[in-house]
Amino acid sequence: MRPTRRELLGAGGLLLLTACTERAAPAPAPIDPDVALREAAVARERSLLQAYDAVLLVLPALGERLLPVRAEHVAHLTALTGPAPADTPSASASAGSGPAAVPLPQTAAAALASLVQAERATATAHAGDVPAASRPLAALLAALSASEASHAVVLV
Amino acid sequence: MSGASELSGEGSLLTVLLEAAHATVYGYGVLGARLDDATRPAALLAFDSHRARRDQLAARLRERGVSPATAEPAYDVAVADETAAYALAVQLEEGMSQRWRDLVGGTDDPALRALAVAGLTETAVRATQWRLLAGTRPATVALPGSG
Repeated sequence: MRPTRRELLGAGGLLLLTACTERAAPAPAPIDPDVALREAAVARERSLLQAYDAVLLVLPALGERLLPVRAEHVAHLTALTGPAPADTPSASASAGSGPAAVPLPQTAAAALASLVQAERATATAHAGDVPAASRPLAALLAALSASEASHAVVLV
Repeated sequence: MSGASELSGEGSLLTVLLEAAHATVYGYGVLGARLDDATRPAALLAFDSHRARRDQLAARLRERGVSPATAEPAYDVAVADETAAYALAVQLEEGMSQRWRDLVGGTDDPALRALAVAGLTETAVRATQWRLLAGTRPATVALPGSG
């Protein structure tokens, strides 16, 4: 005999109920601190990308100098989020109207100085999150911090 | 061995770092002789920095009851000219970056992580400075210490 539709639905409902109660039994799952730390690092990298894009828009002649560094920030995003959203257009798409409405430097020297400052601040922020991160994320944040510190060296 | 497995993990990372620091200090001694008056000060600063970190690493090992490795009498280092000196300097810094990064990812001890972050940053920055001097472009890498 084939089970009736009602019997099947009933059995399914029972299974669902069991699954729910079993899942609800333990205390709420602990929040993985890495999630917020990773998101914060992604936001910092996106903000840096915006800063580079804004400068490149006004001072395209700096491209030869800035594009290799910009590419490393894209690599940082990839390392943080996985390969899929590497070419996230959101960073550049929002560059024009982004909340980071910093006054755009009009000279190359001023632009480079502001990027150096942004790189150093990001290096400090990445390093500041190392103590709270899991071991793998701590190692990644440390590498990102060291990379931003190196960027400051090539931009001065 | 009385040490817990966690300790031996940190102990072995610190030992690997210390051995590399000994070799790096030696390497800078050799390559510094191939540099001119303009660039030799940078090698001296790097030499001093690695020596200071080496002493810190030895101290961290002693705190953990591990006797720190001593330097070999000599290391197999040959530096023919200035170009080779730059190349070796980059190589030494990159090697140290890798080991410092391994330590960040191999400990939960906040003090050790802080030491390792500082070590990773200064070696990555110095590698960049040597690449600039050598004319290597780009002079930076996206993920220092990733080998």
